[in-house]
Amino acid sequence: MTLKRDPDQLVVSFLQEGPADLSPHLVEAIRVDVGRHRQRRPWGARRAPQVSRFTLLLAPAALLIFMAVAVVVGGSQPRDPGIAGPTSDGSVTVPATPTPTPTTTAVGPGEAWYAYTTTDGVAVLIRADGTGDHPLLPERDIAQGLPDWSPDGSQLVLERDYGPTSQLWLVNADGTNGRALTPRDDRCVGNCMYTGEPAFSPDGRSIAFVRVVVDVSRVLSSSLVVLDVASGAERTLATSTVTDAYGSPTWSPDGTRIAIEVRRFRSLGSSTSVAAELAYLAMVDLTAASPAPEPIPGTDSGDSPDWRPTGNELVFVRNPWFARQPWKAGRSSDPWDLTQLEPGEPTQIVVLQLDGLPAERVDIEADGAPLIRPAWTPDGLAYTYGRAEAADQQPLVRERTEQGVDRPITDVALVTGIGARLRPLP
Amino acid sequence: MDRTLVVLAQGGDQDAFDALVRATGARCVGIAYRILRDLHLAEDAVQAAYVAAWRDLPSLREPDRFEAWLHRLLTRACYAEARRTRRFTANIRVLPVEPADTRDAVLSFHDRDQLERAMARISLDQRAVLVFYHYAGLSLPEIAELLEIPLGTVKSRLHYATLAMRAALEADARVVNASQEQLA
Repeated sequence: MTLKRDPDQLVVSFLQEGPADLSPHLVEAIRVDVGRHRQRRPWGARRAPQVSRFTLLLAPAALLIFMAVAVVVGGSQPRDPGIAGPTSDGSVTVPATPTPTPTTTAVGPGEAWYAYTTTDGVAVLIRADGTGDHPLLPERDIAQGLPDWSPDGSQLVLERDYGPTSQLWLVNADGTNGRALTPRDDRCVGNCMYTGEPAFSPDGRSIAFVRVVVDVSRVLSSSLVVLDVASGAERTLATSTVTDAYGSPTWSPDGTRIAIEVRRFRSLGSSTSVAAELAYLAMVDLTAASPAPEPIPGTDSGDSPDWRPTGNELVFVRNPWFARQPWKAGRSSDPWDLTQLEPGEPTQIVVLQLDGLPAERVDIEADGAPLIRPAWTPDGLAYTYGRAEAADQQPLVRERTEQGVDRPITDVALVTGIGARLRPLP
Repeated sequence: MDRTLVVLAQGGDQDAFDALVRATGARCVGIAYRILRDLHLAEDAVQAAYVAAWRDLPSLREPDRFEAWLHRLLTRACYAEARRTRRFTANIRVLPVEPADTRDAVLSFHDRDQLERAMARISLDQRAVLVFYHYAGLSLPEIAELLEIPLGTVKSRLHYATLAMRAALEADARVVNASQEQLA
């Protein structure tokens, strides 16, 4: 005989289980974190002033006069909100982390802009001079990330994340004409599909991306896919074994090869979180009959490769702790989470020469500070990267030039985020 | 909720905000844990939500609605946390080794196993609705307002989430019954 049970009641009981306590360490962490942030004052929260009927009648006439004067004077451009500029004494104001606010900022044809992702999942554009920061997309409730410029600098491709699934999204540089490039699989359940890390091919016709699928049996498979932008047709170049995950595709300048990162996981079913036990970079030859990722020697513990636009060199991050296992079970393991670090295991940004004699150059080494996602500038003379100086700090976007100059990407704003890419200009 | 604390915090009073955190934090942890199914991730999401709340608090027009507004920020933070975790680690949570801390004898180990798996399979959107309805005790219109989605969408998500959870339990029951028949 089987007892009759109410499944809905079981669900309710299940949801009542579990912790609901505010630990003292969390209270303290919030208090410290809040102390570091300034409050944002709303632009439109002021009470509307009382306006007399006489003023209202005069307003249209005043507006006409103003417009006529503007036309005569000419060249008067509206000042972008949030611009930090010289003060009367000639000094430059340096705001802390810029706060993206939705604007209709035009992205002029010849203007230099960075696209990057804030750590709370907003794709942001900011001029190379540090002004005009604004979210790329108007929708703030959908997490976005890792925008990549088209070679002509007119469009960006990025990923939009709906929680369980994500899709690629193509949008004009001014945020208009957004459209999905890959389907949003609403049938997907749980953590089952991730489509992201898009990279435009050098000719702008294709986009490489990775697709990670986890089925209901918790079997993970990962694919490197190339999508034809015009037709939407997909070509799967390689699909991993069940324990490998691909990431961060980057094209060679001639478009014949793609470098990726590979993370090898342990079994997916034996711990409270799955950690990579091995990481390296691999090369996929698109001209081969059956393209397959071939490990690149000397790239152990490597991640986030980016191909130099002007030559056969890869810049990548070498994270020694990346390959250590097991990671702290159940712990978020963001690259800037220094709880993953051990003293004496510096992170490096490495430039690896691919042709000729194998040669690598360690550009930056940081002990106790994660280095994140280097990305070459279109002229290949510098690369941006993220660097957090402490476990509880956001990564500051910096730039390192070929001459070894290392500095924040702008002089007038401290930009925090990851994956900053400078717009190519024709 | 003490409206005065909210108004003081809107003016930049960090002590008042700290008091708000202490008054509302446990519930936030409970909600975030049930959406994310991981205490560490939940605490990260709660911390992010409070920082966002602090930064945007001056724009809150109705101080009496602080908690509902906070829960909206919390839900977004949960989404962001899940996204971040997946991107960098493919962090796929499986059943905890230790059984859940409960004295409720109604739920068997198999029930928990199946429900935990079912929770992992449904979308975060559906999880959020399920948690706000069954755990936080909000009404469907309240959830719609909180998540800024149509009421029909809330009903749909709840419906499908409930179906998924029921299906998990029924599948478990079939397996158990079959095992018992084999033993007999």
